[in-house]
Amino acid sequence: MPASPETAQVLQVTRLIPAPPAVVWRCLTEADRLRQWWVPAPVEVADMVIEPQPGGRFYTLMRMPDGTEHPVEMMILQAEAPRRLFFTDLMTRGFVPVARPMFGFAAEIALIPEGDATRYSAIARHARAEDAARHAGMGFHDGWGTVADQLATVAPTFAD
Amino acid sequence: MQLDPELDLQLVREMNAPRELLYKCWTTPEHLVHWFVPKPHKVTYCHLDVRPGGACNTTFEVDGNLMENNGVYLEVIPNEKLVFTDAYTADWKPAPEPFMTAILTFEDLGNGRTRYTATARHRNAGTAQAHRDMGFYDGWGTVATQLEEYVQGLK
Repeated sequence: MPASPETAQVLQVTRLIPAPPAVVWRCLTEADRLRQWWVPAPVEVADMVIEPQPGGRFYTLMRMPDGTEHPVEMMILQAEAPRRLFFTDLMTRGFVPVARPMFGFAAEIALIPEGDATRYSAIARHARAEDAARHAGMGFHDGWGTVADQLATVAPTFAD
Repeated sequence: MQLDPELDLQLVREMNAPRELLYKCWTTPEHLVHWFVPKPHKVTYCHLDVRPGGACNTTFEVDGNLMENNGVYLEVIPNEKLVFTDAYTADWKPAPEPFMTAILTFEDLGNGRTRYTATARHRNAGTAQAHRDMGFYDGWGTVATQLEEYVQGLK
């Protein structure tokens, strides 16, 4: 189900990444590569754990320019190498429901080959239109778009 | 699995039935409808797409009222483990008011016996208490007994 258009519940950004899906997949699912592009600079990743399997931990420790750190615990729902990764902030490792999720989404990263490159789509699905509107208001398109641009810069350096 | 006493409810039962058959009864609509809700309530609809992100949809008839339960499988390990939830519907669409995530494990005890563990996880203490008040232990216990009897009838 790649690249469905935006609806009231669904937010999406799409970019062309100049590297094939197999390379982009490793940038997405290996912590030492993912940390190089997953948060918008100048925010940095101070620590990262990703277990690409159902119920796997997806942990990012973000370090702000002023030095403060913010942990984000999410969970992997499904990993279909090298095409689709699903994750969520509604649960944490081992299927523990989150009482008050920050955004309340299930996200799909879809990688579709386009010549020698990859069409990257990041799609966040929400339960309610107001959840999606709040997520959009908190900078979804800017934030997820910026990191996709960072991926486009980083991914070709891993092409081998 | 670490339990949170405020949020998690769990039933453990040693069953005189092989885990392959218990798993099959959990994942096949033709079998599931016979034991999945306490009698005389009935399962009137069952659609199971047994893979992560696949639909796990059932409808019960309880005292003439239809209750729809639509969810997805989160994890599927044949004969060992099934995890499903109503927190999403098929293909990972989040649901507005999730009730629970269920984790079932089937542990082989040898000699055709199985340790059957059913855990219901809730996102807050109020939901867990509501499930307790609805009769979790009685209900899931009755269903476990029905499942064991049904499987023994298959052998």
